[in-house]
Amino acid sequence: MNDNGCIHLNNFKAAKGTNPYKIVHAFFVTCTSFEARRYKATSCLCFTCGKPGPRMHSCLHCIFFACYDGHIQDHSKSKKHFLYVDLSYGNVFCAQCQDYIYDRELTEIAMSHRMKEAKSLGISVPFMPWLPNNNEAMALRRLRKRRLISPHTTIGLRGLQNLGSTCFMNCIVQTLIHTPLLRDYFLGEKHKCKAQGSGKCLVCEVSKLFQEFYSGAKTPLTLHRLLHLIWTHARHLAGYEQQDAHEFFIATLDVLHRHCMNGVEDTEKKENGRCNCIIDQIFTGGLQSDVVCTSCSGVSTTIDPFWDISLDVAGPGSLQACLERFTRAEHLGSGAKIKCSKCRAYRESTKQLTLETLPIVASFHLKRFEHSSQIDRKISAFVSFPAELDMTPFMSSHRRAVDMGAADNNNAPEGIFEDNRYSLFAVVNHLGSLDAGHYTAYVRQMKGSWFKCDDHMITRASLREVLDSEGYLLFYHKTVLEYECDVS
Amino acid sequence: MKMNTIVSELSMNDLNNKFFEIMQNEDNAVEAANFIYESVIEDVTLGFLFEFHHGLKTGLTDLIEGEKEEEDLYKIVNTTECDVFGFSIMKKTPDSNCSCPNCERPVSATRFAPHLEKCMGMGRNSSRIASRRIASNSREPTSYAGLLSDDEDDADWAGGSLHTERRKRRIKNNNNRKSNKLHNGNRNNNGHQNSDSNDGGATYESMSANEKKNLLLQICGVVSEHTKKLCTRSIRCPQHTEEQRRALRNSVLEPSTPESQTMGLTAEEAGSPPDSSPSSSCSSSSRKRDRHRAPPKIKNKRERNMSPNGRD
Amino acid sequence: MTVNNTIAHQRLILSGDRERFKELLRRRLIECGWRDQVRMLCRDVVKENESNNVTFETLVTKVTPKARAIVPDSVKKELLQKIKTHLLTQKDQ
Repeated sequence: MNDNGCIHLNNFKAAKGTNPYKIVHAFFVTCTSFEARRYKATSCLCFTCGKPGPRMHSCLHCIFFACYDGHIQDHSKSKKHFLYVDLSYGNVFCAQCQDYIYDRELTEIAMSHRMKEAKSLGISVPFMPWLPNNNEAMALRRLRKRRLISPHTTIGLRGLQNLGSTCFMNCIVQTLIHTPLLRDYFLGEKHKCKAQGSGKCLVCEVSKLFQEFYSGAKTPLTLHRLLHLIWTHARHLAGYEQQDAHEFFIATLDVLHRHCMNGVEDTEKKENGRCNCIIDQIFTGGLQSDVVCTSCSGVSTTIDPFWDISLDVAGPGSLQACLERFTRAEHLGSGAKIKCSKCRAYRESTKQLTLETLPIVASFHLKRFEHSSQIDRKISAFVSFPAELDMTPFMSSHRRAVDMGAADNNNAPEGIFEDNRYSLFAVVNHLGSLDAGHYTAYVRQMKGSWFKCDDHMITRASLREVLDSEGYLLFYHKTVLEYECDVS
Repeated sequence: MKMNTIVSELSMNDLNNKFFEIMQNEDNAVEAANFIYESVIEDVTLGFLFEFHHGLKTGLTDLIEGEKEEEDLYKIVNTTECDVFGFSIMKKTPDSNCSCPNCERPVSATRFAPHLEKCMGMGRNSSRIASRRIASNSREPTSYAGLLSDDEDDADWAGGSLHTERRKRRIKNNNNRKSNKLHNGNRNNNGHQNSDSNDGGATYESMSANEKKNLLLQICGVVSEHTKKLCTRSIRCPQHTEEQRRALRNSVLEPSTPESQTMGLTAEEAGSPPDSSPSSSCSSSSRKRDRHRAPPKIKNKRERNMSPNGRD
Repeated sequence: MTVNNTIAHQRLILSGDRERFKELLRRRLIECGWRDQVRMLCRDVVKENESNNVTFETLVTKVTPKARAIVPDSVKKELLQKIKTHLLTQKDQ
């Protein structure tokens, strides 16, 4: 990469080091504290014309702020101070080269300041492009061919052979392979395994699968090793026979989550039963349960982790209606009194569930299979589900805002950014009756490009077809990703 | 008056006061909003231009973009008779052989799952063979894991039918029980289906009373009508009732021992902690652990409070 | 540039809200594809220029006017609305 600045900047660095830049940047480009912001707001004005813009720059050689309307240029010429810094982004202009120049060392300083600033403002870190190191740059130069996912190629698609009523497994595998963050994790080779090559690690097996799916090969795959691994590590599933895809999904996440511990990457256990493995990062959300005592109004709140949300199907309706029912306050009748710690007695109460934290991938399970002592049946009622879903009405924060009389959370400082939009990317359907059925899946390769996965048969599908399908498991991905920084 | 003098002479307080004064008037706010918007959009535009310029000048863009691979090799086939790979949709997938990870023998792919089930000792016949093997083994009676089992092994695998009795029961059980498997941290030692070891142990009959007592602290124990074996699920296994468990323990242990009294008690009887919802079939002490996901809406609660079609 | 506007502007810098609005606008412009369109405009300039040495100023002069013109109305409206509401609902600290 050609980010070694220019000869003029290098001479300057040789003479004065990076401190002048660091200081200007920390005070006037990013503001990591209120004091810094105050200074910027009140003192950052053009020395020549007094205006706060346009495009303020700071001289790197002396203390001089000026706008780009000719004033910084004049200063630069008259004082022969050739380097000045733009205060919006921290880029260095070299008047001798007559252009902005880029120096890796300074870029890295700027990036670390940006992270600090974002943290202090409580916004997620702005996306900063990946900068390859020397080895990576060399590899990229040497290997110039790029394989892209496109709506016109089969890259990312593979059929899966049915091993004897294993369509439930095939559908879940198709879903996982098409989960964007999971794909990025595995294709980025983030799993480095202590148990590598032993054939015992499910995460390693899945990693191999990703390689297969993106290899461009066209023949269907046989997931015999995967099946064996899951039956070994999730004994309760074992025993052949057609199984429930939802059950299999949860069991697979569980085994992956456990096996992530084999990796040499930093997997630590946090509280709430969550760890920072990729599975928890992607799939774990927090479900808040508030129980309010009807006598004293005392609230007892708990937050529990979840990987999916199981919703009752009560006749035809919509996913949103199911979620609305799910998060409705329910009065627990006199037969279900709870012991209120404030009243110290058994009282009636209301209970309400809301979503405290949403996972990056939100999975919904429509409970279509009913088993009771009287009846076993499948509820085939049509439940419509959208391609884009806003989860705001079901969030704990929304409920709090409503309770306080605000229409929404939009004007609280975090509220500007509260973005709970989700996009559908996979649907698993069960066709047929309780006794004889078959699972198929729809997966999204890219926006607008959907495919139907019926074991080894992969065909193109329209969004309409997907949205008209019955829907048993629905998978949504957060539309806009936010990055957290670990700056302590 | 010059702008800079005005602003730089204002102290913080003055700035704030002036600001609130100005914002009493909505027109001022509209005008200020426009001004600020213009300033911000210009800033953002410059930012995108800088990103482009940086990528161009440092060569990063070219480095990352490289050359696009030829797509012809992987082009999606766009006819109705074929799938995306060009395979006819009429043709059934040709079977292939794969190597069983368990026994390392070659197995036909379409019959792999039933093979694996037997191979791993999970089918009906295999469990009978295994129990015979166990009975003749007489080892130390420390592990109950060899005691079979869950009624699950009953039905024949050959059916391929989706929701037989056995599976329905498993689904129902798992809807309540699944949670126990997941957030491993606090799970107590119930009849672990997750255990990777499957050692044989002595049979139940050959255990001493003490050993039986210990065993019954860990598993449901109700004898299955189908298999005539003990249920090895947890002591809160929803397939069997508390009465069944109590009856079993009463017949096995002395009626007056504390074990027979307290085993298998539900939350209502033991007194529930403040924040639990007691009307579930799982005892409340496991509620928190169970709640890795949405607790299922409890049937009896619904019947009482809601009309059959939902609350409206 | 009036006194009122400057004061409002300074106030937003102080509270950090200007940065927040900037980030919000940035996100919206990426989501609606505007950033990609601007990239294409930049590429066109590079092609025209033949030499790979396009200066930043060239990009600014050649691309900015067109880029500003294609900002979707919905994005502009949303930002204006949010900024205005924010200015009017600031509480006395």
